[in-house]
Amino acid sequence: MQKSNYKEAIDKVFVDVIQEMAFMDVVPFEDEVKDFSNTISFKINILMPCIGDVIITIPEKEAAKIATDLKLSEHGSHLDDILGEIINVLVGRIFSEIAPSCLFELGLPRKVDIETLDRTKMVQQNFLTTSELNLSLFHHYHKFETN
Amino acid sequence: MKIMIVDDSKMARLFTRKCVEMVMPDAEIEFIDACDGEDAFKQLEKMPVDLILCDVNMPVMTGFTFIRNIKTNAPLASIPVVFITSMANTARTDNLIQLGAVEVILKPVKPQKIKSVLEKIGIIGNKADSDSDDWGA
Repeated sequence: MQKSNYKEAIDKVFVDVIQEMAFMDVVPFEDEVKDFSNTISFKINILMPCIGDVIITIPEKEAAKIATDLKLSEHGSHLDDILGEIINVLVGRIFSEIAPSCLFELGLPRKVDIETLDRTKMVQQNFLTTSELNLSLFHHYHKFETN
Repeated sequence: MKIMIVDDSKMARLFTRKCVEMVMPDAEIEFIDACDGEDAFKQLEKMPVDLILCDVNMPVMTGFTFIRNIKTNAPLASIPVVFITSMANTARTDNLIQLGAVEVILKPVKPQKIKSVLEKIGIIGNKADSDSDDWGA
């Protein structure tokens, strides 16, 4: 798959997963986004077939809305659990889309502080909610081989 | 009927449970939660179940190790294991089926997919009275 097609595939998976899991409509957003104040970020490591990371950054306001809308707190599920599961599904679906015949392994999701991470080598893709808030996906990979 | 749901995410366990309840509204089901493969295995040794719905990517014991343990433990080996995972591309699905899974479902789980799998393994009939298309919309 060509590089431009990766971006399109990731855009599509992101929009689908956020809609299916958080019931939130988002659209890809090409403008540069640099302000990550009042956001929550979760990271998942890619362990195979390449080494890499994927990070999702979501405004605290939207994250709280997802938790409220899903009413999961009534069942003991908390925001960290919800966002961790969303990025887990997101990255799994991205790999299933871009490398359907390739065995892959992911790490476990964990909360990170996006401001303290070196993002210089990461690709950033942005998405806009209907409330005009920004969600971002950062990713980078190396040693990528598909079989 | 006893159904075990194995996933480290409470959200995922709840989604799965809701889907099963949607497609089997009249069934008396006892749901047993486990947060990883090790937790599941310990509970199963005390109390076997009729079906296991299991994630793959979990701490402590992954779904891979879990199904290997299940399939080499005679009293538990016949329990059908269905994986519900985001890692369900063709390569991974083939891999899990080879290990003994009866089916692999891509997350996020949907009632219609659960229904077709439960029909496939004979837990519900093909004409089960369920209308789950409006769930989660």
